[in-house]
Amino acid sequence: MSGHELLLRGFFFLETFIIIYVAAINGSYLLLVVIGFFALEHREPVSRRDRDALLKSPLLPPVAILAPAYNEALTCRDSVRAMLGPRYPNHEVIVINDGSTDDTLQILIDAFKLYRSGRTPTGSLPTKPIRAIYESRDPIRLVVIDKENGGKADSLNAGINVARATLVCAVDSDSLIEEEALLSVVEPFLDDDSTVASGGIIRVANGCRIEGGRVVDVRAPRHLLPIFQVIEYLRAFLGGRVAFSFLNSLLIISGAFGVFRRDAVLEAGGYLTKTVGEDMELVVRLHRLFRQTGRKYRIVFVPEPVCWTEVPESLRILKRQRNRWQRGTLDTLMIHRRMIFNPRYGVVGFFALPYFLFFEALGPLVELTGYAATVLGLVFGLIDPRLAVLFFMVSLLFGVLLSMSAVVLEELTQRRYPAPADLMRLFLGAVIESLGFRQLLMIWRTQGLIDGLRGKQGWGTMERRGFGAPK
Amino acid sequence: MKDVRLRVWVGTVAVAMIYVGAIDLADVVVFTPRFESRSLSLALAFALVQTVAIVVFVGGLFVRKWLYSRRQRQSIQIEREIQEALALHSLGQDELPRLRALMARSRRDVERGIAAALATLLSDARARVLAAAGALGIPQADDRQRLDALFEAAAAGNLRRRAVLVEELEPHALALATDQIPRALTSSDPRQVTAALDMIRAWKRMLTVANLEQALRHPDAAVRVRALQALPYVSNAAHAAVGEGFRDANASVRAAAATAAGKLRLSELTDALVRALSDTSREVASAAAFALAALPDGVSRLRQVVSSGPRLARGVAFEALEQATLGRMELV
Repeated sequence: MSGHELLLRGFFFLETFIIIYVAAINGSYLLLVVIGFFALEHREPVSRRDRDALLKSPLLPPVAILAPAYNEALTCRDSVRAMLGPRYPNHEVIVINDGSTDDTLQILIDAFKLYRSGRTPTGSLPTKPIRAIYESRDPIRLVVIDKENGGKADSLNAGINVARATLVCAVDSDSLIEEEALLSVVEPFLDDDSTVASGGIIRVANGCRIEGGRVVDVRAPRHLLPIFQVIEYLRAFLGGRVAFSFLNSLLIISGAFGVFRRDAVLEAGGYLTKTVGEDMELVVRLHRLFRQTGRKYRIVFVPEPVCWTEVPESLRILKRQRNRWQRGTLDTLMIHRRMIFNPRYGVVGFFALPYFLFFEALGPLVELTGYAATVLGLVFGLIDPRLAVLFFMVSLLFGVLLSMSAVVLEELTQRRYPAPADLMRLFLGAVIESLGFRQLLMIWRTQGLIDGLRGKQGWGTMERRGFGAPK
Repeated sequence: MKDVRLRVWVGTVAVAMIYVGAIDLADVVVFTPRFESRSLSLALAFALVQTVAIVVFVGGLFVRKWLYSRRQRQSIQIEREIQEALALHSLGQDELPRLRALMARSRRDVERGIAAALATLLSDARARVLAAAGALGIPQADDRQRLDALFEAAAAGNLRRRAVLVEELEPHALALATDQIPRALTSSDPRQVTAALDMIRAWKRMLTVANLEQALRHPDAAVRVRALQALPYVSNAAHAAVGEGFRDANASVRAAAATAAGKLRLSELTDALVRALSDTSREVASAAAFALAALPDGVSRLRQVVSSGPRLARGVAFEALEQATLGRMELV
């Protein structure tokens, strides 16, 4: 066989592989969206009367909200006020000041009349040294831990050690939790005592009106970049996580809003500090622990409780964020690689982890290879231009279909965007998203994959404007 | 739950079959006769089905949104009318014809309205609404049957269901404490025992309840913990079991015993609480420290530990003293 024939054959196999891969990934996405749709349709709504009874009940398990903070001087006061606000009969807020170099600690001390207390940790997860623990002189259940810098995972472990509640809720310090979100995300623990973790949905606060730490007017963002992220979040949460939760193979509970049984996390060893994907890694480790020990358990996604967060509005910050997420996914898959295709881990080992490996971790690389191969094929006349254009159109349309499905799912089940104009903006975003933004993400994620394989660490800097900052 | 899972899977398979079927149909009927290339016709079939799906989604969504808004407005309107009719009927005005007309529009809303009214009304007003329910053909159990049914539902349900029903049962706490609760405490089903103990804990009223001792010695540690938590609310309970709880192998039981000792102000257990400050479990040590702070001579004992006790015991003792000084003694 000549070199030219070999090249042709190789190109043919590559193209065939890519077509099969694209069909598989799109088929999987569609399957998840459809499962998600039916799972959401069959959820039993909780009546207002029952909610009010629950909110007064002393039987609700106590919850400690853990909020790591690093240089959050701009937002910490509003955030803590919002965290103290949720309607839940028995919760405390534990802010972990992770060695901030700005005035975060002093602002909290002044705003909440903190004093150095004698509270002692009851957990024994290893963490960086704690300098002091503060509590408030006011009758509010606020604890502030001041510790040496050790990163988010280390801070959460310190919070878990100090917490006394049955459940711990990890949030980002700049997240805004809705008033009844805590009750909603705790409900799976009430429904089934085998629940060990549950997560809520993260919504994009950009464009919304916020007053006193509350989102008072929900609007879609005005700028394209956050609109694309709204679509993306809806697709990931309502399309993906609902389905994975239904299959009891949810691998990610967002670090911005997730509740865990404290004893389960202590047994699992707490958050891993040497990865940037500590949220996913802990959830996978919980799956591993409970499946290895043969105990019944559930890890659940709850679509109703909402945590609002600010998403990047600059390409530079978004790029860093996506790079980190990709590295985090890769880290977790490497750490738990023995679970992949291992029958001992059931649907987690045979579906969820392989899905994340082939479609989330390696997907951007395959997609990029596909684009490159198509361009080369066109240049060298190896593929029919009509077919190439058609294939691109089909992929594009499919992407638009999935994005629109996510918006439809949101409207059918959550109805958070009341204004028809906002819905139209989201639909337009769903169309335009596939014309450049997804391709950009693909490049960044591929870079993240390469960085992960090269062993790059670190979070980078997240610049925040703060919810109260003038626009 | 299994029923829901089955419905989700059936729905998913149905949609998948419709989707694949639509693509195949489009391919065979529309594109294969026109294009020689199989790939081309298949790709065009995909594109057509997806485009149609997008149009159906967007159009269907706005139609559904409009229908939902209309239903919401109608539902709010009918709920208001039902509440008004029931309120007037409970005051003695004959609203039966109006309620019958509302039943014809939405039987479910009328049933819900009646159930909500019966949960809050008393004496004559309640009797009138009950009679109306009977006249409308909505059967209501008598009080005793209803109480039994609610208790059974609370006992058999999960914690969420129980938390909701416990509040509804609270006005009948005294009656339940003499009959259903003691019976449940001797049940072989741990869920029944747990439910009964949860009710006692949740109501936070002093009750006279028989058979609590059996729950205090239950083989399941979680039941023993709940029994110790319920103990301060049972007036006829023997407190000897609290002392036994300090020797339990399970740390959560020991912690619950310490907390119960503090809530019941059992001074005779002061020495046991001081020993518990050095327990291997920090949860137990912390509970013991807070319990000591509630006892008459507990504070002085805590001060002694702070000045000369083992390191871990000093830490929890200091914390409890501090909270006592601030007046924030919440024994959970």
